[in-house]
Amino acid sequence: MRIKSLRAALLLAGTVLIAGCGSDSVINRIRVLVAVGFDREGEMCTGVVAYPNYIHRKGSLAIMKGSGREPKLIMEQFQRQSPRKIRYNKVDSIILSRQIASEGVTVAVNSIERDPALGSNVLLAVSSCSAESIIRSLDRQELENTPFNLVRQNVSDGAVPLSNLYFFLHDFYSEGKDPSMPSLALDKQNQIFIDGYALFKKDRLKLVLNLEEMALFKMLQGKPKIEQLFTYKGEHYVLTVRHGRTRSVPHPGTSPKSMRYDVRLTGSIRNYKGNLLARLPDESRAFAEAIESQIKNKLLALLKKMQAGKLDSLGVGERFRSVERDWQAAAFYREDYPTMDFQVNVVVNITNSGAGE
Amino acid sequence: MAASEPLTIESLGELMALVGKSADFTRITLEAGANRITLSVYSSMADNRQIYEHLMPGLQGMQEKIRDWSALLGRLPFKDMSVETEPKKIAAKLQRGFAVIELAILPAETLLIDISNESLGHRSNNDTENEFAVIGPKAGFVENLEINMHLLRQQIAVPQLIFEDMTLGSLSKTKIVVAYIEGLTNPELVQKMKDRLRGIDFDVVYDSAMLEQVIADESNTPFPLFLTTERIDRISYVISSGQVAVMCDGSPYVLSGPSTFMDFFISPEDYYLPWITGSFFRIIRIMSVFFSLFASPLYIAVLTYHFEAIPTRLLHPIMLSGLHVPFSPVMEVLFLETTIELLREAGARLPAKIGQTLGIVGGIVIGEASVQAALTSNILLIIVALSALASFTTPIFKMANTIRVLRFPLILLSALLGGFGIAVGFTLLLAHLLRLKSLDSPYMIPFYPFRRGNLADSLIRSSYQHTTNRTLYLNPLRKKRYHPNMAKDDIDHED
Repeated sequence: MRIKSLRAALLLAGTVLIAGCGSDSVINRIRVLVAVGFDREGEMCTGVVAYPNYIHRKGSLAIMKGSGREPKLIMEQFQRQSPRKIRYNKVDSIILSRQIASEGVTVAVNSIERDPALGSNVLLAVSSCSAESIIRSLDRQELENTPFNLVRQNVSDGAVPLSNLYFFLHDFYSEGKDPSMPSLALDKQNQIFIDGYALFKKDRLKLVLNLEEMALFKMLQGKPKIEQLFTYKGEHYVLTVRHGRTRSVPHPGTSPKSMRYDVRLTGSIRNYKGNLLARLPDESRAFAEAIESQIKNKLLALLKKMQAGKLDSLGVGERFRSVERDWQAAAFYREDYPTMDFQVNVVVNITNSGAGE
Repeated sequence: MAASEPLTIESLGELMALVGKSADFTRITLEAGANRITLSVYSSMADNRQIYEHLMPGLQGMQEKIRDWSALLGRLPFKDMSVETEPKKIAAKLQRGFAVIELAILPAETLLIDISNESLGHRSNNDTENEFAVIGPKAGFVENLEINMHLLRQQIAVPQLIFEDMTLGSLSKTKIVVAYIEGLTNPELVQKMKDRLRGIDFDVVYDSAMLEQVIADESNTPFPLFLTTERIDRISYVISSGQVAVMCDGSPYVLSGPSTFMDFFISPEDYYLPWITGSFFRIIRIMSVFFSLFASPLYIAVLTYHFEAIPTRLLHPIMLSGLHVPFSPVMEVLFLETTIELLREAGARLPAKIGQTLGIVGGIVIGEASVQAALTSNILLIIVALSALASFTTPIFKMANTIRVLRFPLILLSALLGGFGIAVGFTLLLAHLLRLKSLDSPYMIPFYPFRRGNLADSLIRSSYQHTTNRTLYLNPLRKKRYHPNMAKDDIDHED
């Protein structure tokens, strides 16, 4: 009996002692940051954050700004500005200015990846304008309008390739693929929009794809779900891809080494001047061939562009590593990738031509 | 005799002197020369009509001729008459409403005649009051043991149904009946149950629920280790499965064992509905247990330690609802949980109609006022109300109580250690459950030890095609309940 009581007392004491190790963050006594933007101002790094303000604004976003030599120090500055504890565990968007991205994001990436408070499903994006202006545009906006939701919606239903902190770190540290992330900008109404897709070589921004190239990039990644403009007999049409699949096939045995992309698209046509296919059903094959040829040319141009920039954002190296036993990254990117022959096969299946005028 | 037996009556004279002190004791003497007849009875226990309309006229008519007991035994119109000499046995029967006849010419012996009025003080309505079912029989056990035996024998109409009686309670002398099916129930179980009951040294046994605690394998547990039910169909089912039932005079609840954890979440209704529907409601009931146990602790853990686990879309309503609440989440939860327990406890003590009103007043007025006064948040109010509701889905009231009580240590652990505290609490709870036994049988069967054969009627209620065997952990002498395509009683027809 005495031993049992002793055990119970020890258990209770242990529980209470361990309880002291817990760091509580009671939800209504903290300030929850949701979006962060970093800019470079000379030697200093400035950070602007958006947080939902529940006391005065019923949850619409408010802004804080700080500066320091590195992101951690900026957070300490925010702490000094706030009557409540600052918690950045719910940050879902990290925006880096193009200047920071061009000079290298190693410092930012290091401090982010070492922080267990941040999840991996966080949007990393570069901004064409200053990151501060992107974050400031969120002032008095709803929580729903953060860049994270904007990009996520476009990843699932639009032409933006899938990317987040997890993919960025994977690409950053892996051999055989270069990291990439969306590029954001502000329009005249101060609304955030996606203006392209930023390709990195290690930690430095090298190239920003425009919107059409971004859609083609997603197509090469294997998940095409886009609307593609093309011309047929001098007229403009839009191919709406319902579903599609891209297969990449590396050919390590050829000289030079070659990579083949087989793109299969199924979709419908919308034209600007009536339902052409319905009037001319015999032309459907010619129509499809026109689309195939134009998409193929664009895809080849994109691949050549990345090749010329020595960027392997699609993970060509990874594909070759998967089929070559003694694959060496340095040798591959020095000797093979610059001379690689890209082949693209596009097969388009037009199921209908959409409604008429 | 039990160790604490307070009565030591050495002679009939001593007994009569003792009982004569009671106001409800009647002693009538009929004089006929040397042949004096004395009738002693507790008027509160006996049927007075039988005394004055049958017994007294019968005795007066034969007064002159009585020389020995055979004259009376052969002519008086009563079902239970016996000659007794031992004062202790006489005392026991006197307490139960027997008339004690003494003859002056036979001073060492008495005749005991059963004229007890067993229906006195018992309700006529035997609808189940706590274990209500929409489908299926509504009749339940009552406080009268004879009626309960009658009800059970109506359901299990075979001569193998055995009722073995014994008396428990050094003061209450409560009649207990152990019920089982001879040739089906494992005799070891019957013996174990009888041994445990015989080993009881208790003064007053009011209810089978007391017996359950006294004979339990482990007393330091919040879990009920024996099923107690007022439903006849439930008891007839467990007896036919190979369990042993114990009926207690004065209690409308019949105890059965060995029970498993799952038994407490099974409703007889499951068997009256198609197996898919029955299984669905059973799963809902089991999920309710988890919800009831963990909803409030999770609320505390997430809002105190793991706010990052809240989806961003949910952050907004949670923040807005708890913005002006000055208390920490654990204080909020304790305040509301205690309020709910107070309402439940008050509702249970009040008459049904007032209880309902109290529920509405408590639920709506106090809840709404608490939110208005910023003592608690809307979301927590919903969580606590839902978890209270979920706890009431457990068919056995005792288990529902256990689940409600277990929430409190989990709430404290989650406040101290967050999600880790809940994990610790759940682990301890699971370890405790795995150690429990009911009549030496593991409480967590068929999950631990794992018994695949018994899964057909545990988490889900499989179709009758798949529940043809009895539960194996009971080691019944007859394993087969029925053949899927033969609707015959296997006790009579099985080889």
